[in-house]
Amino acid sequence: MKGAYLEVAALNLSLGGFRLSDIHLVCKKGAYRVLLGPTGSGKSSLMKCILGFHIPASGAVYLNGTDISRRAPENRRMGYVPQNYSLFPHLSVENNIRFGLPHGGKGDRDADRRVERLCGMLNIAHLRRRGIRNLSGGERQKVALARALATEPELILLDEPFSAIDEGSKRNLWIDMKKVINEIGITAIHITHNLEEAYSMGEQMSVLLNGVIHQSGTPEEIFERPATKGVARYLNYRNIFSGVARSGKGGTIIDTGDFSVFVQQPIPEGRRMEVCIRQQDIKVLKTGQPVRDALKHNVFSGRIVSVFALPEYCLIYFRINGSGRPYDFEIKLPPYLRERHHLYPDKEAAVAFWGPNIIRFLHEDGTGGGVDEATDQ
Amino acid sequence: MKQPINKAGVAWGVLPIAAFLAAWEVVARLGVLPGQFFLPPFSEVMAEFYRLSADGVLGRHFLSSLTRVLIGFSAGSVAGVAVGTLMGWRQVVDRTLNPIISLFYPIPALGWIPLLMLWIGINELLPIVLIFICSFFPVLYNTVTGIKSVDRDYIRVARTLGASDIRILFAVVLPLALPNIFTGFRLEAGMAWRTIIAAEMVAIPTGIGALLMKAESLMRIDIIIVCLIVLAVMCLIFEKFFTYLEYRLTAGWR
Repeated sequence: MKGAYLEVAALNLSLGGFRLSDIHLVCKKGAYRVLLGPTGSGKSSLMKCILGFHIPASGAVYLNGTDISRRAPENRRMGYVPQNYSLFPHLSVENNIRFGLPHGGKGDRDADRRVERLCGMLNIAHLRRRGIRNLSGGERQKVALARALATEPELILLDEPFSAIDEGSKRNLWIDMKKVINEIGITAIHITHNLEEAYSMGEQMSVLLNGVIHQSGTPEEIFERPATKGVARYLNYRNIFSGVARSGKGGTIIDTGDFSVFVQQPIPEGRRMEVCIRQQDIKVLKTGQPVRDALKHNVFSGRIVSVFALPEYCLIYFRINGSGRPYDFEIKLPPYLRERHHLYPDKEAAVAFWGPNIIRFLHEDGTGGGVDEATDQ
Repeated sequence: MKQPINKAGVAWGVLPIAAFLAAWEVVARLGVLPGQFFLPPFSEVMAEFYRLSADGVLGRHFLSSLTRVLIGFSAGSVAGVAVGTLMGWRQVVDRTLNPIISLFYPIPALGWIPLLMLWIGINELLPIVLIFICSFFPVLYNTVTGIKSVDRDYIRVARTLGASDIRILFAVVLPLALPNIFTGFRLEAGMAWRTIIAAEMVAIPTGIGALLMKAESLMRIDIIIVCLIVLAVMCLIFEKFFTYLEYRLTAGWR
């Protein structure tokens, strides 16, 4: 693919009962791609395929246009930071970083220069003589990163690099790591199951579920327009409904059984489809105030079933009048709005959402996510 | 930094032994047992220890046993580590040798004596081969276990860093397998002494085991006890030596 520095093309791999199916992934030179997916989705297996530890049943891995599928891991020039960092416990910090560097003669001077530079960039110069067991999680991560970068690889692969870091330290390390990788300009693939981490760090993102890439794109594209129900569920979007399209005035009405939603796009009559409205896209209307034009096509009256006030946001469960479900919408609001609008269980209320915010899934689950690859760079 | 000496720990190590020796002395002197013939007092055993040492008898026998243990144990350990490393590192070697080794491993070292007497004869090589056999198998199994239990991610990382197989083996895998290898050394260092004494009692005319048998024929319980004390102390010294060596080599990172 034109412009691709790393390309995984139509890769298939079987590992016991697990399969990676028809994986397409591209990464431009210097890009930072996050591979997002739950535990057991095949992220680490895909990473090991790229590194050369698993030989795919079919498909290929290209680096800078060269097929490296049969090249041994030691000859791929790829840096690897495993989940537990795997720092050699019997070596000091400095000797860990130097492990992959040439030694003797001119090599020593070059190695010294690289170690100095990386230790300076990562602020670990004071740790050079220390043993590994005396390092904190964050320090270990930096040493593992320095070790992987010291050999000046073509690409770096980071396997859940923040999983061993406590929550309080993570965000600072996100910034530090991204800064160093951007400064060096190396192409990076970072795998994680953490949504915040993926959104914050990825310039490009792919979502892998059950061995299949469901969607690739920018974090905004994926979080705002999940392509499949699987992606939407993984992103914790709750309001997913199945319905049938019928034409309406100026657009299409999708009947879900208990209620209908309106979208402006024309959809063939009778088409069965699934739609999703993100929790944060549903507004609770102020009583006695006119509804804005943008919202008026999808206004629902009903009753608040329950309210969960969490420290960072407030979750409201809302049932539409006449609905047979325990609740129809989960709504996420800033905590202050709960107080301002006096939102409490059993209160009559009206909610609305904007038609363009209704997500129609582009693909059936598990197929077709890779087609975005051509356009997401 | 030097660790402060734990006085309470030292006391707990020494006091029970001192109490046991004192009780031994008192019981033997009071004649509670049928007589001093059956249990000479500890002080008399020590006096005999001194006499045997001064005559050079104890030293001569001890040196014979020590030499056999050192040669047999060293050769058995080196071979055990070498074959164990190959088996742990290369699956094909493991699959080839494992069935054969599994067949021989259960045979007790002393069980080889009749066969070795016929093959080698009664000479210095016999106890050395016995110690070799007794050391080889446990060191081999501990080495295989140590190498196989090294986390594969260490090897993967080393490969991505461009390291060759040989470098990975010597710079990563073997150092990380050291704790297991030392477990083998520690266990077998004591076992080598127990085996050599048994072998000397049965088939070899020199060494602590042979002195033990001579003392038995002369009904010299004091000499028997001296020999047993030498055996106990040597087992302890060898085990402690390997514990110390393991500590020096691995305590910094374990």
